[in-house]
Amino acid sequence: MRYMIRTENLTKNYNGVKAVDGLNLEVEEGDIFGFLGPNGAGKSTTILMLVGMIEPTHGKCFVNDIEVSKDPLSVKNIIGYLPEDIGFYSNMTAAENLNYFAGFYKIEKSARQKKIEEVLELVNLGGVTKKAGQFSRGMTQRLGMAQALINDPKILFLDEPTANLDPESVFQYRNLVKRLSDEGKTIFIVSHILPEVSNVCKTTGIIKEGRLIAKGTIDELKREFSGMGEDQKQMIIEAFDPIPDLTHSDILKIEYSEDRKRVVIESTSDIREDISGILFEKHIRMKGMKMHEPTLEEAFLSIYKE
Amino acid sequence: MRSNRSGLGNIVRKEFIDHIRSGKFIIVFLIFLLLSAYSLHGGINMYHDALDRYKEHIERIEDAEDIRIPMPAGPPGHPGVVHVTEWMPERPSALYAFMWMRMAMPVLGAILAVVMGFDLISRERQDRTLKTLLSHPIYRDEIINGKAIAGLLVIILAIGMTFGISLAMLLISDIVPTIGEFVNIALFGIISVILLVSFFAIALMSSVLFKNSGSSIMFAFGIILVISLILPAIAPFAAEMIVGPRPEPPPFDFRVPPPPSIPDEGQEGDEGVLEKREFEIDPLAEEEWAEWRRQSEAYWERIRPITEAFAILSPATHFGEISTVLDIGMGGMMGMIHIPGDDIPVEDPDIFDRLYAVWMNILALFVIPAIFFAIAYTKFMKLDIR
Repeated sequence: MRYMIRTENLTKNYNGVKAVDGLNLEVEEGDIFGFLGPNGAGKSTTILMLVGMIEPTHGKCFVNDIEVSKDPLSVKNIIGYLPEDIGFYSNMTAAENLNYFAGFYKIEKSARQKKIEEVLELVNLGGVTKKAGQFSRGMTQRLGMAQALINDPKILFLDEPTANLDPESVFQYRNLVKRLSDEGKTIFIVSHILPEVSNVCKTTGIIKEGRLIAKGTIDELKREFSGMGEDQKQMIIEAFDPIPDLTHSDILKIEYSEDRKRVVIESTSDIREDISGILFEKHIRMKGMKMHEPTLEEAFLSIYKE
Repeated sequence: MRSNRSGLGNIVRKEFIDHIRSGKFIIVFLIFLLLSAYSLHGGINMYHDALDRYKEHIERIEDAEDIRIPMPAGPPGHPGVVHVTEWMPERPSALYAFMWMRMAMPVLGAILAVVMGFDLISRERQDRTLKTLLSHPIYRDEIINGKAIAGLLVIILAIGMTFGISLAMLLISDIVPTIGEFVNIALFGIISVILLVSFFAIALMSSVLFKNSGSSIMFAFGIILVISLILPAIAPFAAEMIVGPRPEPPPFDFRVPPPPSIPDEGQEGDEGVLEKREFEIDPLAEEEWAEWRRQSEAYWERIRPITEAFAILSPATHFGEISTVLDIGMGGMMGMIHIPGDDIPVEDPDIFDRLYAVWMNILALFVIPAIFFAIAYTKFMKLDIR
């Protein structure tokens, strides 16, 4: 197992206040890692240290086994970074902006032109000739994605990548991220939009007050912080008539509503078929029955309540 | 993929193109060019007037038998009078035509340089392009160095064009500079570049200090106003406050005027005061005047370092001092007095001697932009880019 991103006791102080506090983190090669946390939790400060734009107060961070603070230029050569509040030169077109940024890498002129066209097509800006100053925020965000890909990076750092995108662009963005992951790129996404992370990320870390307080796959986090074990199931049954007491060998816990028309069952297996049979025998008219999957939001809120 | 280490070149290229394509630069540069050309046009007219006066003097010398000009003390051995046949006016120099341009350069140059530099960094911060730029493989100092180098190149281009047009105007006006004059004009061009670079460095520093471009331009012009005008203007008053009042001259003249004489026939009505009056000297009074002169010299010796200190950061002051030794705007009114029997040849100091005389000003003209750039550089390297 190879870690493309690794931090060791990473700390950043601003005027005596710890924005990042002893962060230890590993991200595997090819992973799509979601870095979650509310505003001010230290996400953007972490990403700025990882991309070599600010230096840590203490600790170290490594990207592709290169210590970032010692050799930021080598790191910048193999990464792409989409800042949260990206800006472009308003007097230049999308292609001119990309051509300028591409000039910082060793790319042949002919290959450079081809790469610019390719990444502009990827973000649906191919053929757009107007100046960047006339772009909508969504177009600017997409151009930001294009500039992050201009050097064909091994690792992508995306800071709030869907913040200004319309639903169609969000859909395209998700497909693009999955495609880039399939190509073997490691993607580090910073976001406070939970559905975005749960939709595209394979693993997630949650940061609170500069410290990593949870890390794992999305399913692991959901289960861990919803209080349910790996084999536990949760069902919700709603009926038009009051539900009588239900018994089953697999039931671990059962909760009835006050009017007994709604019941939440936690069991060791999926017992929906058995329960519907029992209710049918007792002539109870069912309104609905569904399995409840714990959500990332529940896990996140549970963590932040602690 | 590794960096091609051409980050600096990439930035210089982009910034240079940005400058010469910028609407505000083009407008201000055209105004600069037009006003410079207009100043030179005025200078060329003055040159021609001076040339006419010179020719007139030559004709008068050829026609006149003996015209005498009174002098306060007169040259040694010839107190009180100089014969006009012995006064050789100097042919006006081509450098005289640059008089107005020399005066206009600090003002026009300041405007052009500030317009070029006031938002170089602040605009990157306002438009959030600085973070985007820094996410690519470049060192932070390459950004500010690249902007400074591009600014220098554009200033060289602007001054080069201005002086190219100026030389063309001189030649069209039948003024052909000598090689010596041409060297002086070229040196004047170089110090004009450094003058503009000084103002540009102030504007660049301002753009680093302020996130808002409006505040940046106000600050840049404010600094230029203070160091170029306000400090040199208050310097004499401050110096007098420090050193004390200047010595008063003796209340009487050491020259004893002779009784009024009758002007020679045919000499009245000529330009200048031409008469035969000769003064006599009172030796005791002259001694008092000599003492006053010594005190005055000592006083001004004490005043000078103070006024110079006040003007030390003024690029316009140093520019003016160096222009003077280069004879820029000079050579239109001077004359040489040749005294019969006084055959000691007076050598005109060569250009190196002249420049050596103002080496402090030359050094200061280089140091001033370096100071402001150093402030900009240091601040930029520590800039919080979150």
